[in-house]
Amino acid sequence: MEQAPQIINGASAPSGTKEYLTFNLGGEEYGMDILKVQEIRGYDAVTRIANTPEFMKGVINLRGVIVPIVDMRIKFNLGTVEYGEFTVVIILNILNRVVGIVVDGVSDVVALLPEQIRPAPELSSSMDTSYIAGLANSDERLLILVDIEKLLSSTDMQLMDLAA
Amino acid sequence: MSASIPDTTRINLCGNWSITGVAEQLPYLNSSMESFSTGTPRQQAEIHVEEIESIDASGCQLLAVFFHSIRRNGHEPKLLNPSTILRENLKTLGFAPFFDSGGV
Amino acid sequence: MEDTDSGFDMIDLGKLAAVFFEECTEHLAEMERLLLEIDPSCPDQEALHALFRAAHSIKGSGGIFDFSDMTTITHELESVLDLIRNQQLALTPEMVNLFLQSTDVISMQLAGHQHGAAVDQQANDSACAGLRAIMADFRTAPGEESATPAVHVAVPAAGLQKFTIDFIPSLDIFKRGIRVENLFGELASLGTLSSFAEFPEVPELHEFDPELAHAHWHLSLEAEATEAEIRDIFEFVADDSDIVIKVEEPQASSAPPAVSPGQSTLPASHEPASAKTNRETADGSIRVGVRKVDQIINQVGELVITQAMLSQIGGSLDPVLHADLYRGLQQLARNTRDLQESVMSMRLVPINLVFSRFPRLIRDLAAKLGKQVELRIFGESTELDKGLVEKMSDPLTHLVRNALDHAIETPDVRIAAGKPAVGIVTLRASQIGGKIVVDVIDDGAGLDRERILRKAAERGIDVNEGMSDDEVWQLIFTPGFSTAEAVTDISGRGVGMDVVSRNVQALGGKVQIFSKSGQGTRITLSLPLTLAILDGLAVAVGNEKFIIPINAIVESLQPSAGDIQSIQESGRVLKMRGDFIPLIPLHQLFSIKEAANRPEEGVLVVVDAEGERVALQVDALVDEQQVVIKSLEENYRKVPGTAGATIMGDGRVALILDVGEIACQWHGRLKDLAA
Repeated sequence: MEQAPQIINGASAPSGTKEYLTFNLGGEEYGMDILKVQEIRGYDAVTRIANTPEFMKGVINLRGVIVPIVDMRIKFNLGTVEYGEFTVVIILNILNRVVGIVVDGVSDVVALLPEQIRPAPELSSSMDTSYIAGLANSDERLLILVDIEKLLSSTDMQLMDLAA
Repeated sequence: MSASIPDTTRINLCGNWSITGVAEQLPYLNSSMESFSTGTPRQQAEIHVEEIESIDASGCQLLAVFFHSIRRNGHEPKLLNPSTILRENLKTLGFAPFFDSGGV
Repeated sequence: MEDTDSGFDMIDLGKLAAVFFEECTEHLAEMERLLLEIDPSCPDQEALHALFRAAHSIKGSGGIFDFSDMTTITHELESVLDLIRNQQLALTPEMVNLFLQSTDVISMQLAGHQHGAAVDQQANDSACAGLRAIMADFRTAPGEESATPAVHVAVPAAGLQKFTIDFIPSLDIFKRGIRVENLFGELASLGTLSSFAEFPEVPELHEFDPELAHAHWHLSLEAEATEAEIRDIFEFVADDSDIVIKVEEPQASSAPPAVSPGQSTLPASHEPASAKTNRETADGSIRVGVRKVDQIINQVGELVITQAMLSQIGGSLDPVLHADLYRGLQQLARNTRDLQESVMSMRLVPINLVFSRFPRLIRDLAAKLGKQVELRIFGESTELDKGLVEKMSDPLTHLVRNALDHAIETPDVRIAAGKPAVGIVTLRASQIGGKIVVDVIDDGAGLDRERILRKAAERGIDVNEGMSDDEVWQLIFTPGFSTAEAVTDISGRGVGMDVVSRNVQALGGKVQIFSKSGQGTRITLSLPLTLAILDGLAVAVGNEKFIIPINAIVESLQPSAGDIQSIQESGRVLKMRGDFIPLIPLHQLFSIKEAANRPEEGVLVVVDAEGERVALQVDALVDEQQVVIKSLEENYRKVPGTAGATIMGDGRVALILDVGEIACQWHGRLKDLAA
C-alpha cells in the first residue's frame, strides 16, 4: 500500500536564501528548488506505457490525477535499479504539470544564500551540465544544484509535447 | 370646524412611480402609515399626487394597496390632484374602486 | 421623498442586466437564424411572428435599461416586421438583408453596453434610414400597389361581441418590462373596456413587494373583434400568465372570411401544419452556470470511482453470507449509473451550436469573394460535450473559410470545368465508435499536390515524387506552411492548418485529409465523445488491464484453432461468417511479455475501427464498467493507441484503447515488417 505522502510546504527560510531539497542519485548529492516539489512518495502501482523509453516507467494515480513517473537512475545510467519499500519518488510541479521522478534517496532541505552558489565547471557528472544551475557547499557536502524544470522539460525526457 | 370632523393628515407622493422606482417609494409609504395609525381615531388623509412624475401599472398597484392599507387602519384616504394620465391609468387598469370618491 | 434617478439597487441592476444581455443575445441569434431560413416569396407565418416577437422583446427590455439606441432601431424594425406579419407589406430579399444588417447593429449596440465596445454609428444610421424609408413608402403608397391597411388576414367581420377576460399575470410581469397599462390600452382601443382589479388577498403594506404583480384582473370588452385579435394583444404574456377569454352572445360566425381588396396581390403566407418547434418546450428551463455543472460532474465522477471500489471489495466477499450488502451494492451501482447518465447529459449540447454560425458566414463570405456557395448540414443534432463544442468552433471556422477562400472556384472557373456554378460545402457530424466525427467537405478544386510538394521543397522539407497522397497532404500541417498565393484578409495567412491540427490534438482528436484534384476535398476531424465518462469493457493482457469502449465492440468470442489463419504479410486473420478479419495481438503491439501467445488461448474482441473490423486478441475479459476518463495529456502526453486513461477499482491506472489508432498502428507495423 502506499505510504503516507509527505507534503512539503514552503517553510519560512531566513531572508535572502532560497531553499533546496537535497536528494541522492548515483552516489552524488543534488539539490532542487523546493518550490517545485509537491510531495514525496513511495514507488507503487505504476502502469506501464508501451513503446516508451526505459526510464519512462509509466503512470500512476495520484489522488485521481494521472502522473507520469520517470526513473532518473535509468535515465542517467546509474547501474542496476531496484524497487522496494525504500524507493523514493519525488512529485514535482513543473510548467503546470505534475510529474514524478525516482531517485535513490532524499535527504533534507537546505537554505542557501546566493553567495554560497558557484557556477559549475565542466565536471564529470552523470547529468548533462546544461541542466546544472551551480554548485554549493553545505555542511561539508558538495551539492550539485539542478534546474529540474529545464531537465524534465527537455525533449529527450519525452515527457511533454512542446508543440503547444 | 367642529370636533366631530376628523383630523387631516397631508401626505405628498412624488417622483418615479414606475417599475424602476416603486421599490424606493415603499419606505416612505410605510413611515407615513405610522404617522397616523397610532391610536388616533378616524383621520382623513389627503394624498397629494400632483408631484408624481411617472407612473405605470406597478405604481398604480402600489397606490391602490396604499389606499387600502390606510382604510384598513380605519382612516379615510383621499386622492388629490391626480394628473389626467394617472386618472386614465387608474381607470384602464381597473383600480378605480380603490380610490372611490377620491376624484378619479 | 428623495428623488432618485433609478430605483434599482446597484446589485439588482447588475443581475438583471446580465439576464438581459443573455436573453438579448439569444433573441438576436434566433432572429438571424429565422432571417437566413426565410423564403421571401413564400414566408412562413410562424417565422414572421417569431421575428416580430423577438424584436418586440428586445425593445421592451432595452427600454427598461434606457438603452435608447437599441430601442430606436428595434422599434423601427418591429414596426416593419409588424406590417409584414399582418400581410400589409410584402417581404423582399432586400428587406431580409436590411433586417440582417439591423440585427448586426443591435448586436453591436448590445456589445457596446455590455463591454464598452465601439459602435459603428454609420451602420446604425444607414439601417435606421433603410427601415424608415420602408415605413415612409408604405404610408404613402397607393392602394392598389401595396396592401390596403387591413388589420388582419381572414378576419371574419363578426359584429359586436362581448368578451370577458380573466387575467392573472405572472408575478414578474412588471419586471419583465411588460406595460400592462399599454396592454389594456390596446384592448380599450378595440372597443369599450371595463376593468376591475382585485387582489386575491390584499397584502399588508410593509410586507408588500411593489415590483411584483399581485393584482388579478377581470375585464369586460365590447368590440367588433375576434378572440384571436384579443389573444394577440396578450401574446407576450400568454406563456406564464393565466388568461381566460370567454365570448358572450356570439354572433353568427359562419360567414366566410371576407378578404379586403388589395390583399390578393400579396403572396399567400403559409401556416405549417406543425408549429415550428423552436419555442421552449412546455417544461421550461433554468439557467445554471457552467461551473456549477462541471462541479457536479466532477463530484459524480468521484462518486463513480468510489462506488467501483466498493463494488470490488464487495465482490470478494461471500455473496450468501453478505446478501444484504450485495443487494445494497447492486442498488448503489444502479443509482450511480443513473445519476451519471443524467448528469452527463446536462453538458451535452447539439453540435448545431457551432454549425449555426456558418450559414451567415458563408453567405457573407461568398458574396465578398464573388463565389456562389451552398451550405449543406447533416447531423446537426449530434450531441457532444459543451466544452468540446466551444473549442471546435475556431478550427471549424478556419476550415470553412479555407474551403471558400481557396478550394471553391469562382462560377466561371467552375463552369469551364464542367461543374455547376454553385459550389457545395458540406458539414457533417456523426458519432462513430465512441468518437465524434465532423467532416468539412467541398466540391472545389482539391489540393494541388504539385504545388504542395514544391512549397515543401522550397522550405527544405524532405520530399519526393514517390510520396503517397496522404503523406503529401500531411505536409500542410507543417507550421508556417501556406500554399496561398497571396495572403488574403479572409482566412488570414493560411497558416491555420497547423493551428487547426494542434487545436484538435489538444482535445485528444485528430485531423485527416482526403482530396482529389479537380473534384474536392474532405477534412475529417475526429474527437473523443465525452470528456468524462465511458462505458467500457475491461480486458486483461498479461498482467495489465485495458479498457475497450463498449460502443466500438461488435462481439467477442473464444476462437478455436481452426478459425485462425495466417496469411503472409497480413499476419493472422479470424475467419468469421465468411469474412476474414485482421487479428491484432495486443500483447505484441504493447510489448507485454507474460501474455498468451496463441489466439485460441485467449479471447478475441471484434471491434469497429472507423469502418474497418478488426479482432483484438486479449487474454481474458474482466468485466464491463463505466469508467471516468482521465487525461493523459494533462501531465504527460498523448499515447498512441489510447484515448485517455482511467482509474480502476483497485486504484491502478488502466489505459483506454483507441481502436482506430490501434488498427492503424498494426497495419503500419505489418507494412514495416514486409518492407
